[in-house]
Amino acid sequence: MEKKIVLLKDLDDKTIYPVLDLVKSEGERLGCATTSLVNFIMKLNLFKHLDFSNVAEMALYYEMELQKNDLDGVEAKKFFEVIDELTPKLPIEKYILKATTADYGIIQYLLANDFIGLVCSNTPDGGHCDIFFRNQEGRVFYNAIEVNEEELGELLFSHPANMILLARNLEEHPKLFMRVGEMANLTFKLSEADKYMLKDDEIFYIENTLLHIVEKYPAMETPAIIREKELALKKLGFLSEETIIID
Amino acid sequence: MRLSDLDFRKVRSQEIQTNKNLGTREVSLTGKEIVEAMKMDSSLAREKIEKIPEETREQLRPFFSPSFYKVGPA
Repeated sequence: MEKKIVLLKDLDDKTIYPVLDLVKSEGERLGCATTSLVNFIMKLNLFKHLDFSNVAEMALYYEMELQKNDLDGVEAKKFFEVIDELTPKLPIEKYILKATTADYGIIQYLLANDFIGLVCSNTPDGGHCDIFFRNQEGRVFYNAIEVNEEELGELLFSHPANMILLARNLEEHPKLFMRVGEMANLTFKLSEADKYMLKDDEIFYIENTLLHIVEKYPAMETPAIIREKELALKKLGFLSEETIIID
Repeated sequence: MRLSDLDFRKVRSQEIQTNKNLGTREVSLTGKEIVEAMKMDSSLAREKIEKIPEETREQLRPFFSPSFYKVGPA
């Protein structure tokens, strides 16, 4: 992967992100929080949602806003709050995790599902902010450097004060929720072709409400019925595999 | 400290002054060097890796390249 330092004036949507350093024409670097935020937005393909005429203008705006918040040393919690303030309209699904309590399996699961990570890390002589992600070949990068599981773990959990933000673009990865009650009472009239694909009890789950299912299968527990119905609906494509059932 | 400092610190200012069009260039920075620079005594990495259930690991494996699970530098 290319490891870039890029002059601010050359920055555009054709640039390969992440860039390692953004440099003004007089040689001054933009802050690492700004660089990470620009990388994060561009990797998530969110620039079109922001009101800037070009990427360099966005970078300069964020640089000024982050300086205004006095983010020397990049305190993670504050940085993520600033991101919220700067980007309230972005169509993203995001999770914020603390290094102390974060489950590494969950982080890997999110990476596998195309989430882009942003980490605010403490180091022996300060703090910094970096991006991490999985590319299409399944290789994982921390900024522009490929890392393995152990190296990424060392970087993400290098200090108990580290915080991690993972996000993905909802336009590219729609998140579909359905409440348990809605799903349990969803019914469809199945065609003969549909029925051919299912077992008798699955047909019953799909064609009837939770109440009717409980009447027919009184010994079954409600969560089990809901789960069976969800699986049957997904089996026929009536419910997207992406749909998450929530309480 | 910034990660780019590890590699660019020595050459950056001179290069920027002499070459306004920096473009792209390869750096020799490796994951190992970065980890070494950031590693703290209190690192939680090993503990976190060990806590990943084997079942989860098997489910995730197809999504990651073999280099991700490689022992030693990626």
